[in-house]
Amino acid sequence: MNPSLPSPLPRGDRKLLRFVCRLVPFNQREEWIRSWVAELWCCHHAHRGVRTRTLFFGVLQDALWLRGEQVRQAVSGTAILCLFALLILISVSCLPALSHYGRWGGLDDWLMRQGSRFSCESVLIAFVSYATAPFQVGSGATRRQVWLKARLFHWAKTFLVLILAFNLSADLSYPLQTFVPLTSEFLQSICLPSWLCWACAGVCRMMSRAAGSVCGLLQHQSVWGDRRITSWNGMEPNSSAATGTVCSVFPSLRRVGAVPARGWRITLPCPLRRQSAVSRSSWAVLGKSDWKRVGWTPGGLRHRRRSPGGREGHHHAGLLCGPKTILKGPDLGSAVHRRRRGWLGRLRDHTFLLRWAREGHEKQEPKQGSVALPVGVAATALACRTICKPELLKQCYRPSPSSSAGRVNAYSLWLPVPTFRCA
Amino acid sequence: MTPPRLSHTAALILKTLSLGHCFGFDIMTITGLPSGTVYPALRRLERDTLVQSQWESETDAAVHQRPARRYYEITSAGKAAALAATERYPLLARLVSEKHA
Repeated sequence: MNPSLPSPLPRGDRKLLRFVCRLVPFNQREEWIRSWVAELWCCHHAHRGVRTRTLFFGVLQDALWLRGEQVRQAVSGTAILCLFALLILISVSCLPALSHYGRWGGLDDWLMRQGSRFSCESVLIAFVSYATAPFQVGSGATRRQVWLKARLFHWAKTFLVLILAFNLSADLSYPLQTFVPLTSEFLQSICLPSWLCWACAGVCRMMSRAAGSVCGLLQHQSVWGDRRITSWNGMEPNSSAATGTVCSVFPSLRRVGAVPARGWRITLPCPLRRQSAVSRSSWAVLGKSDWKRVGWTPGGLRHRRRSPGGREGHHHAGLLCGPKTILKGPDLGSAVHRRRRGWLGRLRDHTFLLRWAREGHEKQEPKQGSVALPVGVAATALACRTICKPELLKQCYRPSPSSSAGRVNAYSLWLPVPTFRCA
Repeated sequence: MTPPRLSHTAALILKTLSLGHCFGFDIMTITGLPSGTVYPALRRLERDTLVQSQWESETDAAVHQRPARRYYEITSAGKAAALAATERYPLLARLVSEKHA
């Protein structure tokens, strides 16, 4: 409180502020108190008819909002929130089985009976998930840490999603088993084609996008005019509309990412820091400030310019749109960074290592590679079931006549385990 | 870029700010909104960069013999949003000006 004021705040107000300020985050507390001293002082002296209690809710709500905002910013987009949401979903999915058995003991017995089948299938899904997850962490001081966190998060998420899939399939198939003995097979026959169609639709969409990109590039007059595509250095900022993926494969293994809606953009591990050292050049300044919005396009297609960096040299661009796009999976683009999204979209977004990517590197958009997974899972499982048919799998898939829940299995839903990447 | 869709409350507050009332208590008085609504709404608007705040200088505050105030000012994005909100809620401009009168 400023002692030079002609009349200080009443004691009750000071106590109120002292009490409520504990709700405010520490780094904002001083400013908060200062602003509310001014508001309360105005309430008392400039508007004498107004009582303090009219501002009491304002003080409280303001403090609560600041605290809530701090929590929201702290957990939004984090892996912790993703795992927490999955845990809640698992808890909810346990409720039908728990209500059926009436006690935890019965549920334990039921889970144990399904344990062998579930573990056998889980190994398959986990293997495919891990094998198809496009882990890619940029360089930097925290690279190893991010790499480790990424894998830990991936395993934890896979584990939780598997349990959730198992619970949901049980919840769906258990009530039907009395009437339809082959419930799990029926569910599989419905779900598997659906997932395959979904996965194939995504692949087809990416293929068409990649094909359009290649056609657009090949039709560009400058490609045929002076064949500058082969000597594009990849550093010219240009915001012409083009889509697709260009991989510079020679002389260095520099990767060029895809920005579907805007054009071209380089997703290097840490190119901007190196470029920012050359701060006098226009492209470096542009790259430093607006590199996310301005697509890094092959400007050499129109105006051939050498990058001032010099060391970057020329990067020969190869048109590897198709294969690389398929391998990468769908690109979320800027959708991740939209502010207002539905809870389903946010839950999906939260499965990425957005925060770690932000901490470890410059702001980079995470990518999703979830299409490859259901295809991989489906292919693996189909191969195991229809071609190889190992005895262990046959044993696991054999319905147990003694158990009414014997036909429940975790493959019924074919839930995809979303994969992620940090770069 | 399309201006964000604002709630009634946020539109009312933005409109009040655009009329030149930039102190929290004044906004509360003019709009008639409760304090528990006005101050969090101001925070949200500031978070969304529709509004920016700045502190009154200590010199000015000393001249008026009161604590330094935190003044809110509408940004260019906020002006666009307020304009869009006025088109969306036609009675908004009249409502605020009448209350002010």
